[in-house]
Amino acid sequence: MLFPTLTFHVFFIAVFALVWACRDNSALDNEWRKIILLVASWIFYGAWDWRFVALLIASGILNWSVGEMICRAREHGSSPEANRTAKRWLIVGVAVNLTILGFFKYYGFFLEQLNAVLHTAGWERDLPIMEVILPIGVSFFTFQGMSYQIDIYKGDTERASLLDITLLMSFFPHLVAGPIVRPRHLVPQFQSVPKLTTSMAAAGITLILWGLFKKTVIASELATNFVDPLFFDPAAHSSLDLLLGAYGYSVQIYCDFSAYSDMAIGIAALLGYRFPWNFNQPYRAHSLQDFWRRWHMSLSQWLRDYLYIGMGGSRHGKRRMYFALMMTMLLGGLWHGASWNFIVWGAIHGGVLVLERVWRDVRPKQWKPVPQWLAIVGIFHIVTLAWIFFRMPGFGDAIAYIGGILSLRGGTLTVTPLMVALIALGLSFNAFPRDTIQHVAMALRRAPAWRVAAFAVVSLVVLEAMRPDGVAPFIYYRF
Amino acid sequence: MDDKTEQEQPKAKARTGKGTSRKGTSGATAPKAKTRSASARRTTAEEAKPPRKRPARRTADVEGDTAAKPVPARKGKAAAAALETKPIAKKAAAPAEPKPPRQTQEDRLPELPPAPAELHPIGFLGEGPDGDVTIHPVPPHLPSSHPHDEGLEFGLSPVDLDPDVRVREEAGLGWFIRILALSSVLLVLFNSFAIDKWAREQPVTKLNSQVLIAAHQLHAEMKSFHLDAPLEGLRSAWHGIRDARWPGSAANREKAADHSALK
Repeated sequence: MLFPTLTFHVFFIAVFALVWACRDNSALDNEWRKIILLVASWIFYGAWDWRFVALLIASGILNWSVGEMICRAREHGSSPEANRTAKRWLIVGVAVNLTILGFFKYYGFFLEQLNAVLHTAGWERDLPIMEVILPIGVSFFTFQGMSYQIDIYKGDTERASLLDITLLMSFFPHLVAGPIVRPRHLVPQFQSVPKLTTSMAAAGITLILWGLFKKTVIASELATNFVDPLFFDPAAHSSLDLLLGAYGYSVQIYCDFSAYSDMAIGIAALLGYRFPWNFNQPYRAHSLQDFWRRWHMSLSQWLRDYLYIGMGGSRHGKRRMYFALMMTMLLGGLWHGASWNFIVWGAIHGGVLVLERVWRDVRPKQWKPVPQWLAIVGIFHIVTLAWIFFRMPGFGDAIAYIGGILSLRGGTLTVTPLMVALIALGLSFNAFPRDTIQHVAMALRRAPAWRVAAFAVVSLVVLEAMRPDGVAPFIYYRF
Repeated sequence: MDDKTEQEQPKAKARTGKGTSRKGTSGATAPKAKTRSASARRTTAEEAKPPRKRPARRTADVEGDTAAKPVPARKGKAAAAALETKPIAKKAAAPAEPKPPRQTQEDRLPELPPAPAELHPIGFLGEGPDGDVTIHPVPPHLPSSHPHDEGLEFGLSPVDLDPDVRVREEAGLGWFIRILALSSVLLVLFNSFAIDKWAREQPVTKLNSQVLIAAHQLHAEMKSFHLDAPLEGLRSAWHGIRDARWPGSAANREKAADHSALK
């Protein structure tokens, strides 16, 4: 069930009506509200594959149970023995989560690599490779479950009920592609009675319409009519086409993923819940560190808090910090999928992050820093280069694409004026006044309902006229 | 990755009350009240923009708030920035200090619903170095600068709009239900194409066949009233833009050749 479809529209109206039918402020009504949301989330997830709803439920129970065991161990005081028991439970919980993730996501990949190694060593027979179907959103809900366990262990979050934890992991707006919402952010909201204010409703409407525009017009149009054919057969296209295709993919993935986040935040707002920011004009970043403060912020903050700091961060000297940075980005790359290209993507980001730190340390003080605009252009090109590896199925394909750009090959230009305009438009979003969407929402919240309805209908009719036939799944659904 | 934030863990910040520059000192409440608007004007544009937050509800009966007149909306941000620096005395800290004059009824803003536990009526509470209680319009562990400048901390949300001090933050459920109902009716009238398209994509079963037929009939009906004209007009214009090619391109030359052959 994709957000920009009529099926989801009908589903959401039904859920909205049921959820807000529980208007009593009593705790009992709030529990019913959460149960409705939980069942709705399972229906939403089951629309892809009913079998994996059981996985979702099992994962929720697992994470809650481990959290309970950690809390119970701590109930006996903070003696070293109690801490050791709590730590043992944490290790078990994280290991089970990683096993689930590893089996569904990396089993085939690692077996293929093992086969290749065995072949090199002279082993003639292939190991049996099982076709494992990847459950949608497994990386997202597993990470959320792990963060509950770790936060409980560290004392960063309160003990939550089974219902709250299962709902945290299953809540349909963020279930399949984030944002990765932390327990300490969402569980307190689940525990109190949500309220829909005019501000939240206006922000929700604006974010949904904005997300629909980015997804259905820019991302889908670019993907269908320009980027996909180019990346499918780069050898048949000129260097200029390939260069514009790389820019096009940068815009496509930004508009696609940020559109999902915007719509998820908007949908959650209409149900009375606040989700955090996930994107903040990433292509205006003047360093890669800045880029990661702006791109998929919920993932980068997760990686920072649970991986980078866990590996020592900057507390144990520079070398250790560089190592932690590189490993974090490599694992972040691997999180996206089982492919060498994602590892290369992570390595590019990790390498440049390390270089930035090294340069900051060794740059002579009399040297002026690079002008901001030049830094922004440079970082955008580094990110775009990394996206080529991210987009291509194999390492050789990505190298061939980059080779095609560098060869300065001539040929017929396939890029159309519309595609150039869409690329420029997508990039210009990063230079917009910063609070444009919020300002639109602030104007809407003061307007009467009929005017907002007219605005929404006109926007939706225009979007319907502009969208290509069909809806391509969001890029991040496969992660 | 962001190693800076590693040293600024939320807990530590909450303990120390981040943003010491914004904190006032004990007993400075009354004199500051008069100069607040002037200092707000002096703030830079960036400082005047408070980070997006859950609307900071402002009530007149907060102890020490002597400038509780409703602020015009255009000055709302500056006023909110001024609020950042406003310290209030702890209840037991200075019992001898005279209480500021009570507000008149006209000065008060309408009664607001109770704020969530972590949210003070006009912001988040933080503790200053002298033990003063300071009000921040954002949680003390979050950055004081504008969220777009420093990277957004986890916890801020795009649905937190700047508070509008002119209007009461109303319950939006009825308002949104009216929008939903009205827009659904209008979409059925003017965007029946989408319903028809959806119906064509569905596999026909015994259960849904009647619904699918009704969807096709609805679209035909709306078409007969020309209610699909705006959508069709926009679609053809968009297709024209999509089919446009660069002047002098091979596709354009072929097109021109076809045209002249037809003539």
